[in-house]
Amino acid sequence: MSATEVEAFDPRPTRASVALTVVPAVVAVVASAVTLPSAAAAFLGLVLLPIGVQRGSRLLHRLGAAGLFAGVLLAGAAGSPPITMLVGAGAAVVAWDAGEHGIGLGQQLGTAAAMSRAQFAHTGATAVVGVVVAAVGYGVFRVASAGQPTTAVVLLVFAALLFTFLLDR
Amino acid sequence: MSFGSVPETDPVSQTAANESTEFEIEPGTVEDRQTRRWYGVTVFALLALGMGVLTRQPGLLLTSAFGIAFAGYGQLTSPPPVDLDVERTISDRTPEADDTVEVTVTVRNTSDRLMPDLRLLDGVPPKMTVAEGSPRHATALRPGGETTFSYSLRTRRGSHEFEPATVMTRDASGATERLGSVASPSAIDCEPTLPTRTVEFPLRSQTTRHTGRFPADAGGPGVEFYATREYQTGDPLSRVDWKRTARTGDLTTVQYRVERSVSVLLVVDARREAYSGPDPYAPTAVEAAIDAARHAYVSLTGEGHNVGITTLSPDDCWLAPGHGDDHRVQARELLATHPALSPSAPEDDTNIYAAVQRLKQRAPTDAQVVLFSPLTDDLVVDSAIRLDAHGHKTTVVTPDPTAHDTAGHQLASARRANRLADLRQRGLPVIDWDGRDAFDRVLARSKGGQA
Repeated sequence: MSATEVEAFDPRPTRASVALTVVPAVVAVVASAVTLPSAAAAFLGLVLLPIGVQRGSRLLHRLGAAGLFAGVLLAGAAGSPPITMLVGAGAAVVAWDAGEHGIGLGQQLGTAAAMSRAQFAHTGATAVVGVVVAAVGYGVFRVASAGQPTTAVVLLVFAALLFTFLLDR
Repeated sequence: MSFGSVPETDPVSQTAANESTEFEIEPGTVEDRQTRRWYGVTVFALLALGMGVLTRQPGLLLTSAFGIAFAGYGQLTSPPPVDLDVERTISDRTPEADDTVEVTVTVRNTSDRLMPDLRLLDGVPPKMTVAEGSPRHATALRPGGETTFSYSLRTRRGSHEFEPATVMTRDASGATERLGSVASPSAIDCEPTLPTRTVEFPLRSQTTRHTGRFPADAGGPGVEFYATREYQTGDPLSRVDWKRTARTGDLTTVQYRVERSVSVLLVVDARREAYSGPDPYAPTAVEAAIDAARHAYVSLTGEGHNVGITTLSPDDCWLAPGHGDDHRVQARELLATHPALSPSAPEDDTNIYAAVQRLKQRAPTDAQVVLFSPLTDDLVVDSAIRLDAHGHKTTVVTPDPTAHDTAGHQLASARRANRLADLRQRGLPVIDWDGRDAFDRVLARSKGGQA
């Protein structure tokens, strides 16, 4: 037995993590392609994010996610409609989350380990939560803008309570 | 076991790096950690809020609310408890050395909560290496659900215990992770069998009382012609050289070379200094020494000698010279699993003078010594010389642990060569085994140079 036979630990994430990052990132880019600066920022994010995930580089991954988020914010500042904003922001969060999770798994378990089930479960949970939160948020937005301030105030109070509860934890 | 294909690196590094896992937690206890991974999203939400206020864009404000809700999601969930059953199925619990065994691990979620992110690192015995697959696994498990993964280990001599599996569970958001470990005792006992092929092991010439197959430098009954001498009363008539009597009229007796058996003590150098190899993952010189001792034991007992085994080590290890089936089983077990010959280096220093003294007291006075040592220091050379001077004719078998890649390694190699030369100059036969050839072939080659 020689040292060459001892497989070196490879901390890079699996291909599944790259795929799970790229798909929502593309959605985020499409949703935030409203103006040239927002499209450019988001596209830069789309380029950097998978490279960061593929190499297991947290720095590149963060830069890529920052690009996506900047794209979403710029699109919002340029007057992108709320529904597109929610889709863009949700997709950006899912892309960032899948990449971060994949990099963490890669560092702890290595490329050789089987981990796709954990990845799909985690990213799926994030995506479902994103859809629910976006739906609730959009519902509240529609109700409030339709001129029913009582409902909006109730929901606002509820949100404030929830926020205090979370801050307390 | 082969000692072959030795890559050239560190000659003195200890074997099989004692890599500890990143965290160590006793089974039954857990430790929670905040991953703080949602902080970035909170920052994004606050940025969106600020920009939304500045630009009066409802989309940005809505996005801000969305981001804050995600940050809250991270706080709401908590990681599931580490209630797991870990079961290992090992394809062969008593394998040969340098074999591969398949380990299949089944993990069952015995808690009543879903484990959305379960990461597990099986407690591979510290001295084993993973040959294929990965002992790490990540999955999601329903309550009562189970998962199976497998990997293969390359076996090393000795008995190996599995350590508790290290487990990490995360909640669905990944905001909190819980570390724990799950004990599941299982073991692999790797006791290499003794080789079946015997080789002619070169011993030093010697005269002792017992009949055996070793040609002694003395005349008497035997097979090979040794000398003739004048007839003495009492010599058997069959040994009178009648042809010579017919020619000269004198009675002479033919003497044959007497073959005697020898007591041989195999001494394995298992001090910390001997646990060296050309690189940290290569088998150490002690492994090679044990392999050589195994060959020597089989060959020497096969020739009718009484063979004992002892070590130079902090732990005492002694098998009195003997032969026969029982002795053979004892020798095999001792060479495979004795703590003094553990696959990892001992932590204590060895008092080599005391060890040699002990050896001299226990060994039969005329016993020969075969010392198996990589000769990594001068003390062991002194010991060999002292044993030899004390009447225990000593042969040294030395597996070469050195590498030649750096100046320091070359120096270590040169100093070892000097020690070899010193021993040879003092008349001790030295068999240098560089690990590239099988041991029997090295013996066959060294026979030519043997006195």
